[in-house]
Amino acid sequence: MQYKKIELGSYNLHLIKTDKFKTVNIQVIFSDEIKKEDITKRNFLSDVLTYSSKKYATKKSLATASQDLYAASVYSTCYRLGNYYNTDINLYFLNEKYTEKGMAEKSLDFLKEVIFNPNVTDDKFDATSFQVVKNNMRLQIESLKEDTRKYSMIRMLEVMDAKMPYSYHGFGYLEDLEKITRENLYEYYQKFITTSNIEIFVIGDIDFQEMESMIKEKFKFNTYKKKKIDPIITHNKIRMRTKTVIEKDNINQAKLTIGCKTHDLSDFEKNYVLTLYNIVLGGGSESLLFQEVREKNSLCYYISSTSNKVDNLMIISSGIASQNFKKVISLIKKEMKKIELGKFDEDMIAKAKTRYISVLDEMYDYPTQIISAYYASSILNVDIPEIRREKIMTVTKEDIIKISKKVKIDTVYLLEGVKNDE
Amino acid sequence: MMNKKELKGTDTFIFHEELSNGLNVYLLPFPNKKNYFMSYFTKFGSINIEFVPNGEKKEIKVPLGIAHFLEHKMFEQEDGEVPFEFFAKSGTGCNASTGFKATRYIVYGTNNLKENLSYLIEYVNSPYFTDENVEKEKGIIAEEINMYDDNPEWILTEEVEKALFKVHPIRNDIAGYIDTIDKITKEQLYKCYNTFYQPSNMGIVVGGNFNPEEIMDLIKNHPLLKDKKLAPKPQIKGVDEPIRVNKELVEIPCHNVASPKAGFSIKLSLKDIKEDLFTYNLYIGMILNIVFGTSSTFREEMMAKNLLNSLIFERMIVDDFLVITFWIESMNPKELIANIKEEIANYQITEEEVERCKKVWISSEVVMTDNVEITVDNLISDIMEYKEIVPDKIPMIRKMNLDKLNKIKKDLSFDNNSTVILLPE
Repeated sequence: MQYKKIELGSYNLHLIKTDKFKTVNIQVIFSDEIKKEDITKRNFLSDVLTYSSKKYATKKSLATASQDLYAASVYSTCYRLGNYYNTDINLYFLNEKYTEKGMAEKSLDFLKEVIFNPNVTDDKFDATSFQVVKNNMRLQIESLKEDTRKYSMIRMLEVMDAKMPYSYHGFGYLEDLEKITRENLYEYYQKFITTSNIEIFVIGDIDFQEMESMIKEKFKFNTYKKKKIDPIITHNKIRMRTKTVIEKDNINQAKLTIGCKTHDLSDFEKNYVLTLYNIVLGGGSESLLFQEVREKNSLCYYISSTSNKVDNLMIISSGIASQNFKKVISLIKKEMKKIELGKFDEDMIAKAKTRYISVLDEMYDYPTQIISAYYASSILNVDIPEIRREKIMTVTKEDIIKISKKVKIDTVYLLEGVKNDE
Repeated sequence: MMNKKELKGTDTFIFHEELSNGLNVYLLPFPNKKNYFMSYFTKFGSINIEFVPNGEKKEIKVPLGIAHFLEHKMFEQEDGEVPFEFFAKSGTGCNASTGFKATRYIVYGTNNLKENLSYLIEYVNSPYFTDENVEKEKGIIAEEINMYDDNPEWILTEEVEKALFKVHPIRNDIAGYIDTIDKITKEQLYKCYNTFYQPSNMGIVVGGNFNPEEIMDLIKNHPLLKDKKLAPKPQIKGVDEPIRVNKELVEIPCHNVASPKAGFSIKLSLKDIKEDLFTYNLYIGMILNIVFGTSSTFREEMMAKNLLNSLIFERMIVDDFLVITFWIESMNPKELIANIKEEIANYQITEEEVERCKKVWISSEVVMTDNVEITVDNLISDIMEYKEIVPDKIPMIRKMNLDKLNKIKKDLSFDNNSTVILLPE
């Protein structure tokens, strides 16, 4: 695998050459500082851009064009990364070996059309496309509660601190949706295309020179330089006493979400120790939480923890019967305490390290994961995979005990099931 | 002898052998992958509840949800070390899942392929059920059932099966019900195990970077497999399912539903089809894709009228039936379904649309083989649906044409259908 980064002023181009894949993947990342009031608009824009374009003015014609290119697919996603809100517009297409000569260039033209030639007339987005996207977004936002696990997670973060970016969720907000018009969405598009921080990644069995010149020729952004902010979220306050909130809903299974804040972590702790601590505590079926709460006490079907170094958070999530709430909380606290006291097998760390390296190796089998790794090392203070392999091995039991004291339960949220009580 | 087949047009090869004990082994070498994915499966799923246990004469009926319960209990081991712990030592993941027709045990990782494969075979061949460990599982599975019962898509799926089928056990929830799993005993688990976990009722598919001869030898010579004899085919009670759908319209107010959801399904009898099942299914899929897919006029019109937010369709073979289901999200599902019915009564398909659909399908067959897990999973689905793998998919797609499509279309009626709508409470 060969990697080349080219700084083009208005954006950086990253080329990765490998013969491992039958597809070529392109990811255009538009990144900006997150603002709650912009989330809905940005999601809207990302959907409307991939719904139709000036040349392919209806969904049918855009989909047909994509199919004619042997199903070259353009899709977009929006997601929060710490203090950033990113929009990725992606394209993948089959290597010409499996299709026909000229398909790579035509596929790039297709992506260019979607990004640079939106379906706009008189400074307004096309009325039909606008309405369809709006209808879909409204439905999505309204159905948010149907996924009770996700909903419990969102509520926990809002309860933790509704002013902090980690509590802003990516579904968007109804009150903001109603404010979006065909005109102001186009204004936002112009801002989006000129002020986002842009990175373009290309991965596949490509020729560096050929790809570089094609991208340069087709993707001409005129962005002006902005000061980059730090993506990492630092907490304003750490609660001394846990905040507990219980809300009721007409559901069978109660959803428990526990938010833990991490603070004062060094880069080494953030990138390595926290990851291992999380695997040992609740990262999988052999973890302390799974073994204690599910296997020994039969109190749940799933329980897991996830750490997020960009948000400085660790979140524990489980589905339980409401009446077992206190018991489950005390078992979770007991397991966390065990780590603080060093009462866990050294063996668990060794397993966690092996898992970490295995996940790292697996990354090379998925083009989008390789892109993510390169992106992370370019914007976060993360080592490249080869260094990560070595550093993870140096984490000791003492490191884990030390970090366990910097992980504090801050907020406990229970979405209580009342359906079984009827 | 191991035979080698090519998944044509994808540069992917499959090595297959049926061992003397009846076990079917499929190996897919992926020379430039770091990861591997293996699946050990049995043709035993939630619908197999009335059968003659291996070595007995009388048919028995076991509690609903037992296949799934058994899947959970396979992770119990007599010597203490459980599969999760074993696999974790090499940073390997493992899991299992139960469907209507099969149970799959999967292992995925990047290290120790041989040891892990050997252990996978070992633990699936070492049942250890006790009164205590059976009892312990009931609380865990009850929470799993409670979790599904809050999921509108899950509830809809169940209701759709109930509306389609009058007597077929596919009507029942895969995980069973809290009162049926409560009745499960270790004796029943052993009976199921001894009947359905015989090599002749099972298969192993391994995809990854390995030498197929070595892996085949390992499986053949595995101490827990090599002395196993060919077991009799499980005798499962047949089902006399009427052709007509059970209910044409079901509307249910449902908790935890924010926006209406619907399932519109068509029950096609496969008894009188003129083509082989694979070809027939392929053409039905093509018709659906052209008439209702992402590039269809229908979809665009319905979205513009705000009648359609999401429309996904799928096909499933259940004994002698092909079931087509449209999963719908719409503010007005009834009107959308009325439009679907009108469309399936009047659609026309052009040569150009057939050719475009072929291009897309061929492309997706190639793209799929970039992913070990998806390739292995699809292979197992083919084995379950068509009894064998289908290495000639791409050539078969290439051969598809409008004439044949129109012939199939002529004999096709979508009139035997049922509508299920979930409404907010």
